[in-house]
Amino acid sequence: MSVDPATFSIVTSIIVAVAREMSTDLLRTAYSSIIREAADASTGLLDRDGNAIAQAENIPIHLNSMGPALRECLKVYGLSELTPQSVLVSNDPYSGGQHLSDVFFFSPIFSGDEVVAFAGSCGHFQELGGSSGYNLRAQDVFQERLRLIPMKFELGRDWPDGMFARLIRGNVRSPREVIGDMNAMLAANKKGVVRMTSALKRYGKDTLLECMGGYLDYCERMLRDRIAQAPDGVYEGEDWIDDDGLNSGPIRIAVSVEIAGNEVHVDFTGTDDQVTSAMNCPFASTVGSVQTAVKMLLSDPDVPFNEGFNRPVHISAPLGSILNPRPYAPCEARQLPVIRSFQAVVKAFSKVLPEQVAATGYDTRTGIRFWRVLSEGGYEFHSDPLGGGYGANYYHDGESQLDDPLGNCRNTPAEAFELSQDFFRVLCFELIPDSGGPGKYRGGLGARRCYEILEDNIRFSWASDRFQHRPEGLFGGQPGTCASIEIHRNDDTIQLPSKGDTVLMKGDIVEVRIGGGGGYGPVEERLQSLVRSDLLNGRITAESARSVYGIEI
Amino acid sequence: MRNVIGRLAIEIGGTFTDVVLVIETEQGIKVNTFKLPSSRSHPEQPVVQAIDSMDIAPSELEEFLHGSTVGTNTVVERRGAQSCLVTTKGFGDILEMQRGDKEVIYSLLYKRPEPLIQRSHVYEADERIDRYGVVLNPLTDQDISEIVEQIRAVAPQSVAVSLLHSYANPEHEKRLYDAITTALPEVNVVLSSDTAPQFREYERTSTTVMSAYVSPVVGAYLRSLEKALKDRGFTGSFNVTQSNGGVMSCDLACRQSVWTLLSGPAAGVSGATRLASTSGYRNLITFDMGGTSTDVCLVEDGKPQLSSEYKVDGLTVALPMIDVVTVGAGGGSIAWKDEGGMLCVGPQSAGSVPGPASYGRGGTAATITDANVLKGIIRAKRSIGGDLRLSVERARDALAQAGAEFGQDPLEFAESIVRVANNNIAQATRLVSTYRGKDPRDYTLVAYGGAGPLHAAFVAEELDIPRVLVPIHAGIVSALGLMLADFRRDYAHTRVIELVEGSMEELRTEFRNLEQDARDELGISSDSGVTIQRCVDARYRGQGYELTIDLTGDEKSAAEIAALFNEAYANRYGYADQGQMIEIVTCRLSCVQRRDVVSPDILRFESRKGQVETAPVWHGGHWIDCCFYERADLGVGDSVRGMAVIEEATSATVVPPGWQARVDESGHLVITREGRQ
Repeated sequence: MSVDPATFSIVTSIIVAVAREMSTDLLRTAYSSIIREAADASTGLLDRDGNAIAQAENIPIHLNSMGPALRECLKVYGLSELTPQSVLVSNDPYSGGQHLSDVFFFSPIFSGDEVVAFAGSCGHFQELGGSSGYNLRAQDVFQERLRLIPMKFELGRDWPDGMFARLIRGNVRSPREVIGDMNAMLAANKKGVVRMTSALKRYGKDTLLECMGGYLDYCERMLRDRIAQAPDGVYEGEDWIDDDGLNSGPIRIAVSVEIAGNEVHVDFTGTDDQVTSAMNCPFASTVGSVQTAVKMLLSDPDVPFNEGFNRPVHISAPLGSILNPRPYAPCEARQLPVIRSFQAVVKAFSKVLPEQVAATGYDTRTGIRFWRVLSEGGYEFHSDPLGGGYGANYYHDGESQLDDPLGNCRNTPAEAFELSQDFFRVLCFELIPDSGGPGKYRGGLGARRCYEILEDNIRFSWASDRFQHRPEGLFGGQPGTCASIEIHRNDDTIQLPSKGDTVLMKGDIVEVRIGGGGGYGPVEERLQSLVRSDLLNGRITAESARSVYGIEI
Repeated sequence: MRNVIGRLAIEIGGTFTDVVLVIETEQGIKVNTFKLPSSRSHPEQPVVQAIDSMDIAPSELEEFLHGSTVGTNTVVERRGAQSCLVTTKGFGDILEMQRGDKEVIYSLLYKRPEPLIQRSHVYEADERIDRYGVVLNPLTDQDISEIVEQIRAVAPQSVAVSLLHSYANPEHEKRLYDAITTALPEVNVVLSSDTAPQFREYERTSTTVMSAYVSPVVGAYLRSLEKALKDRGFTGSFNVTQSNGGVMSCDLACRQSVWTLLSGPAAGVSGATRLASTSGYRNLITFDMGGTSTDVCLVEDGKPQLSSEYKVDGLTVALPMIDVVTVGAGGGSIAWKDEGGMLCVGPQSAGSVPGPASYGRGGTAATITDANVLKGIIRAKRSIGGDLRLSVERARDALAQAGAEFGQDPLEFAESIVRVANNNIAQATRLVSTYRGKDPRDYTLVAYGGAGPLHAAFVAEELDIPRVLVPIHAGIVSALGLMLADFRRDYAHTRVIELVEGSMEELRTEFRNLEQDARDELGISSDSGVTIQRCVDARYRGQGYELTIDLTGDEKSAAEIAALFNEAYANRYGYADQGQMIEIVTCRLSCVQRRDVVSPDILRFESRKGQVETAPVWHGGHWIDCCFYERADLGVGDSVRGMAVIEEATSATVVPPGWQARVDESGHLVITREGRQ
């Protein structure tokens, strides 16, 4: 490399900082709360071949989402067709996209007449025409959302008043929010273009291109070194989804991970076929899930991701499986297969990286939603995403009740719910003793959250999993518990399936019991002092101290 | 008896303790500043040492101002008071669950910060109050006495009580307080309805627990210090700095120690702000660079940005704090090569022990300081506290060794380190400016701390900031900040008020109550010198996040407040939801009482023309001539052109080629690009 080390360090740090600054702009100016508050959006800078150089993914599930989407766009449009006003757009799961809710915008960055890079952003649109909310029963993507196959529009001509804007406006229920979020994405891209243009001026095109290429090599080199340290071999893992939401299941996710020198081959042969519900996982999401697992296991948490990480990792899944569905299978509810494929990969790696992996956690985001129909029309809607217990690991017990490893949602305070509505109340939010899988290190606990309904005819929908398949322990550790959701009505208890919707009445109590994570290592090796401390602190019961750990207190 | 008035400000930092002593006599005013090494195990040591070495008797001190890291260290090292917590039934695991998110998103082995109170010392009260303050499930005397008995069995030093919606009705918390203090009079009981009466139960509980946990330790420290002072004849007032940048009395600080956490950076920011304002600069980016880290903060119209909550060791404190961003770039930051071969500088620091290689205390790692020593910017002949002499040879050895990994000779490598460090600082500066939609070019960079003025002009160059201000006594601005700080207290209370004309009386009542609290606590009887700021946290109904709107000034109608909110919303998010119902959720009041006892003017140096020395320094790949000035030799109106270094006891300022520095009326150095003002 002809660039000196300080310049390389400075230019790469500027690229990373620009990606992050784009992200704060996007989060700050977005209209919808899912982007602004849940940070379900990402931004990045990509080279002109469509490799992500730096990405600000606010939640891990967005990792590696940019590159595949841009590369598909570049198959349709050559660089010479682009102008500084051009924006490439796509949300198509069958052209490198995630699910239709995730829309990508890419803006070219020019040096003179030459495209040298792209600024990109991705936002999650809760509403984009088609079905409202998750439609598990959608028969294909066309019933899910407006589909934007890779296309190009021109600022000024097509936006904010031209054809592309009118196409969007005419196909969504809340154009103000959707257009607002798209404007926020365009503002973020513009920030990226402006800041990179000034870096171009300061450091020159050649230096910038060399640093971008060098940065890919840098990440690749680090990952290859780590892979090379792991013993060669073929390692297998699997995990299960209870059902597809239409009561067909269980669904098996199977993976084999081959480590060969400084490369990894990940293959999902043996995974069940695609499903008829919307719970299919487009291949780009499968790739993102594997890459996240590889990044978490093999690189330091503070090393930023770029597409150099992809070079030593080769991923395949049979066409027609739930992890590589055929066009145009519905896929809005891809989240469960994404997280289960992540867990299967982690499990496969457990055989070679026992100190880096964790036992399987509950690792599911349970979506709880209450809403009531307003007399003046419309809905008042409250959603409460709940994580669960993490798996234990080589070093310590799993953490209790965290958002799943691919997200990072905060829980909503009971007081915040109660300050903003009067139709339900949170009665408790507490850890469930014995929910963490026993072991040398115990799995994290799941929590119990109860809601008291204060009005008749409250709509309730939920999406959860692991009602039947417990998160497994590792190396002799025992599994964590399953989850359950019940309605207590008068003296009756109504057991609910893992996914569904219903109507609640005043006085109903909804009890959600989240599962815990798996244990790590045999229980016999658990320190007595930890068992006593768990008992003292209510994390296990006296009964399990005796029956599981054999300690009489 | 001599007619002497002394004021002493001592700020304990992680590495050094800064001391400012101002002595007023009939002959005039004398300002004495120096640094002493800090002691983590015996924090009071340098304080006592400073007092014993003063030119005046402790009895001649009218005021003692103090800031320390005792509270923060108590939390970080988990050696606070043995404490219990009482929560509402069903919420006893709140300290363990926190908010359910991770600070490091790519960690599968994530571990939360350890709670300050273990679960077995948390008791649940069978009670429930709703958001309007209505008791849904009354707390029985039976329940209270059971809880008291459980607490008695543990015999803690402190008990925190945090019940749901206690901001709306503190009755149940108060009954627990009465019962516990009656049964166990020696126990320190802290109520969430007193500490942080705001909604969001985790944040309120965590703050209350933090207070219960640190108060006895910080209180004992302050009391023992007070005793040591009194034993030496001190009869003046003793004031303590807070994380909001103001000071409060020692008595109050003993009870409200949670307000003193992370007060060091805050004192620096308020000092820098106050000093810059004497020259008329009110829009600032403060830049404090010490031995291990750099703190930056945005100041608008003379008001440092405040955040309404912050974290200490990962645990939330829902109290206002001066909003500083910290990066690991200090003089001791180490240059290293990461796994992928990238040159990195910091956040690992050599600290003061062993310190940079040039300190000759056994450090071998190449640091930013070593780079500046080899470049000739920091001159080996300057002492840096005590009898320490810098070694150019050791700096060169360390840089040669580390530089070889990158194929660079020591001088090239020194330049590389400084460039990377300046870039790291520039990125931190972006975090408080461009990341928040502010253009750094509209601000003055105020540089202080031992290393800030060395790097400031280069950082300004990087960000195209037109002006750098290096305040007088730049190396000890934190302690000066203490000397110049005002009394300040902040209050907040959650109550949902719909923004309609009919509910304005409710809003008035809220502020009246907060103001009464302030007056009672501070013992304010008249309005002279008291400034009251009134703000509300408001939101569109249905949203889960709020914006803080300043209502200070004439009383405003609901429509006027709505207009202010819509405007703030549009500024922040680019659009406003005109016509949407707005609700106020929290009222905030801050009460500032001027402590105009020391004027920044007295800090000015007496000009006494000295010898200018010239020596070569390494800059941009060449040795160039550099003039070295003694700070005290430059008087008001004097100016110097780069390349120059202006040296003083606790810091040194670099004026690069193409820049010039001028001493302004207040004695500060103002550095601008030549041809620009």
